[in-house]
Amino acid sequence: MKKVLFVLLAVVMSLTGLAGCASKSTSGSAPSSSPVQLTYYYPVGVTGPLVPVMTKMVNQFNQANPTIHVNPVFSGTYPQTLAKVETAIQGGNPPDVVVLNHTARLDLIHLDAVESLDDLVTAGNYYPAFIEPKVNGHYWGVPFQRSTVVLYYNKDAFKKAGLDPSHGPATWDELVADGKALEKSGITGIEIPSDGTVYWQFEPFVTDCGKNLYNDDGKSVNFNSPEAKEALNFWLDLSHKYKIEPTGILPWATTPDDFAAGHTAMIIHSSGSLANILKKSSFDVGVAFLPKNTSDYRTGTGGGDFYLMKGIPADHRTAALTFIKWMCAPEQQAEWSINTGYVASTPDAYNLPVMQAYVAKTPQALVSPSQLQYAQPEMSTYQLNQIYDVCNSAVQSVIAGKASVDDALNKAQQDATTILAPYQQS
Amino acid sequence: MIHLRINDNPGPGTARQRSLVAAVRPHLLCYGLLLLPIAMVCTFIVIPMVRTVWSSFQAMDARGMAIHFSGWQNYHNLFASTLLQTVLKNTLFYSVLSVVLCLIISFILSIVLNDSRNSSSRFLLIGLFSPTVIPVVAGANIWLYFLAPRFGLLGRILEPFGLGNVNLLGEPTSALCVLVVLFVWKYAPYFTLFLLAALQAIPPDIRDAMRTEDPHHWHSYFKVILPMIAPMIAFVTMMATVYALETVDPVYVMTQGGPGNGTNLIMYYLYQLGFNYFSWGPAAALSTILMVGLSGLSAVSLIILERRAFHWQ
Amino acid sequence: MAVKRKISVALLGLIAFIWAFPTLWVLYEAFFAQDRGIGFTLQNFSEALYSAPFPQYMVNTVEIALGLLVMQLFFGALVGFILARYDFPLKSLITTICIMQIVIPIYAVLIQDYQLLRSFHLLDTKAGLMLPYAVSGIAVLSFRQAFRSVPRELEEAARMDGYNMPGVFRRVYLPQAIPAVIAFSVISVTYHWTDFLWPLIVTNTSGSRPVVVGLAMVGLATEASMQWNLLAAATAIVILPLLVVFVLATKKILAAFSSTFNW
Repeated sequence: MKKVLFVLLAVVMSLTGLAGCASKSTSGSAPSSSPVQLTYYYPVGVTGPLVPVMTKMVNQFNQANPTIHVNPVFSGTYPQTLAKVETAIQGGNPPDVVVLNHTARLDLIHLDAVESLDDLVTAGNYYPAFIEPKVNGHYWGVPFQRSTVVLYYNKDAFKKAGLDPSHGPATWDELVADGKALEKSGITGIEIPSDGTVYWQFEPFVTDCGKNLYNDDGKSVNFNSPEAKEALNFWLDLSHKYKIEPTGILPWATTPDDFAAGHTAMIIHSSGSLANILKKSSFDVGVAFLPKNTSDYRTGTGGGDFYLMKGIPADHRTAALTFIKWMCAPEQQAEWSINTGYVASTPDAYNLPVMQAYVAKTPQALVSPSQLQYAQPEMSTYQLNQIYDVCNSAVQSVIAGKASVDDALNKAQQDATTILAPYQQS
Repeated sequence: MIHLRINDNPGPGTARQRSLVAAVRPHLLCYGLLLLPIAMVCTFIVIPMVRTVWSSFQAMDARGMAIHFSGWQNYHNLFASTLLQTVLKNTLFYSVLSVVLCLIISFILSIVLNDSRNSSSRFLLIGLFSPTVIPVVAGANIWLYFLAPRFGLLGRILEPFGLGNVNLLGEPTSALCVLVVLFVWKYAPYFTLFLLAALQAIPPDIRDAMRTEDPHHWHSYFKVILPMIAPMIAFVTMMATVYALETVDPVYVMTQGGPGNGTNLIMYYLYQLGFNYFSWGPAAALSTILMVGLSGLSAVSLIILERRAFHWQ
Repeated sequence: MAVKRKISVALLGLIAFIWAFPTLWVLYEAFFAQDRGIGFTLQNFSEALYSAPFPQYMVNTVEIALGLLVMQLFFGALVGFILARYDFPLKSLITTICIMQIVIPIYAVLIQDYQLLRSFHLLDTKAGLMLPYAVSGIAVLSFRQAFRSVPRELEEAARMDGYNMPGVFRRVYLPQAIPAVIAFSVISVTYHWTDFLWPLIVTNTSGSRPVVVGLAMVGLATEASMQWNLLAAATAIVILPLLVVFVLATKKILAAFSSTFNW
């Protein structure tokens, strides 16, 4: 009898212990009565110490709004954050508010995971390039950290090679010519990162040839169109034929540091890395549009929007809307843009005195917003992460010398069509 | 056999029921005590195992719920994927290389450590086994930093030779080799312990005989010792294979499967299928296959161990 | 002869150095690398602690590892004792179930366990994280082995001294199991301190996230921001406790590893 009691006691104790652990981890650090606790997932996709900047801004919000306490959770890169969010949604415990790649909207809508945010979007005065197109007649994300693909160039190196430092190469031919001149003067011509999410740098090259990588409905792609092959061949030629770029896969994370250290005269990167590059470069940094080929100037937009998750309690919802509105307001957009290099999502931010002062010191920051009229929407399909992976691995296998352009892109088209097949019927 | 005082007055019910109860009653306490732990193992290991197999034959929706029976469709989809072919190739290359290198290095190290003068050196032990006690993720971070072009130590060492921006993680084959190095770095010492235990279990009179007859040891190693520790070698081989197949931490941290899916290994692919692509059907099929394979390997290795590898006690 | 000895010592030193080198280098970078120049600094550590809630992660990890150890020892001793001491119908079935726990890797039932936790609303909790591991087949078999080796006469002697079952257990059987307890504790804590994929999937927020997942996140963030000092410091934070314990108890820990499967 005593033994049975002892065992029962131990069982009860361990179960209580388990329950205690369970409740402790969900209650958070603040007392349960007062502020609404919001969970906020966010990614970092550009180079630079953005986590402390984000933490500071969230703390600012928390202090200014004592009834709300936002808990920021850094969750990796854009694809990893999307995977985490989708897992959380499927697990029935979604976060309250997330910053996700603006291209994720199709998957999120398909999962019925987010609420439309028409009121917030129309009330704020956001750049059309960041909010169009509507999906199913609604706006779903509020632009927060947006960027464009830009070309950074080393003005001092240009001067040394006898090139005009006031502008970057305007066309593909000029790019090759400039690169050769730079190589002759002893510096690498250009570095285009090709690891990770290389589809992002690849896309504007393709669109520049006349056709987009994907179709607007998000259900089909054009990975092996003649335009895509032309673009990838050009990229390959930069290192193999014209020899103005190092061969092999170049990492996204170290390319800006290569540039800042003076190892390469031009790089293609996100405008969101501007602050980091300026901080580390001891020379004059120029920011330019991407060189054009046949069509007009092109760039891709990138970056993240705020999304509001569906199915959260009513008080969380109200608090989340307040948080989103605050983060995307001109003042915060200005601060985030100044500290990172992301484009402020609303022109109102550029009218603020703090922004005017910043832009006066750093005119490069104006290049990105002025590109927006030439921006093409970024590839957005269903099964986003999987389609990205297909495109990324195709481009990478070509750059790493493992596959020919035709083989890689044809295969990518095949794989992508298989993946998207279930969505064709719907 | 425990003796409980059983009430000798027969209670109500048929004789058959009473004898059944009488058979079970002495063990009621055992069953009662075992109920919770066995229930937990069943809930979290046995039943999920069955469900994994079952759901591999069902069509699954994006939320992981079974819709309808679909026969071998999931397996078909799984093997139709060209990405799987790449993953299998990578995994084969990585596993074979890792296991072979591990075995060779472990064997050499175990012979070295068998000499008690060596194994009493604390510095040697601490240095050698430090990778084993740290998490794989920490090890992956260490090597990530090590190999960062230009900024990592390797980059800095190679800089004067103009090779500073060599990016070992940027090329599919070399990235896979880095993973092999990481595996061997972490696990070779661990397996050395097992081989060492086997070496030390060799009876001393045989060791003495060897020393007198063959002062240089080579001949005796191959003719005498190898057969004696062969069961342990087999055990270590299987364990190493299981660990190699289960590699996923460094892939997540260092390469995320790239570049060009060159380091996409089978366990990482399983994670992607389920938690990134939400293809729960093929994920269940792959889980089933992996379960059969890994469990089989583990079971065989335990049997070898039980029968012949350990001579203790 | 002395020369030969010196050579082999040097060679061994080389081997140890090769294996220890990356770890030593990271520790060096954590303590000595600054943004500009070299010098002893603790700033990397303060930045690392600020970059992610490492103290909270550490607390989580300790709770998870120790909590699991307690549960595993408890259930292991309980089940192991019953299997060692008593016979009853279905005993081999029970033993087989315990062996299944050892042989089936967590990776195979990952997805199902995840969905199980989801339906019990235990996702993103430490309890949910621990449940699949709470009963450890290795613990059960280790205890069974230890208890089996106790001669029956000792128990009978204790009984004659007037002890009933719990007392007998405490005085006769438990002491025999101490080596098994120590060995198993080492293995269990090492495994659960370093477990990665399952916590990655199950935990999201800092209330339940263990330190290895936090470290992986820092690694990913560092790739983006090139703050290698930070990565070194964060890694150092995670591995220093383990290394310290290992240095203090080297031989015991190594003995524990090699006797893992000794049943």
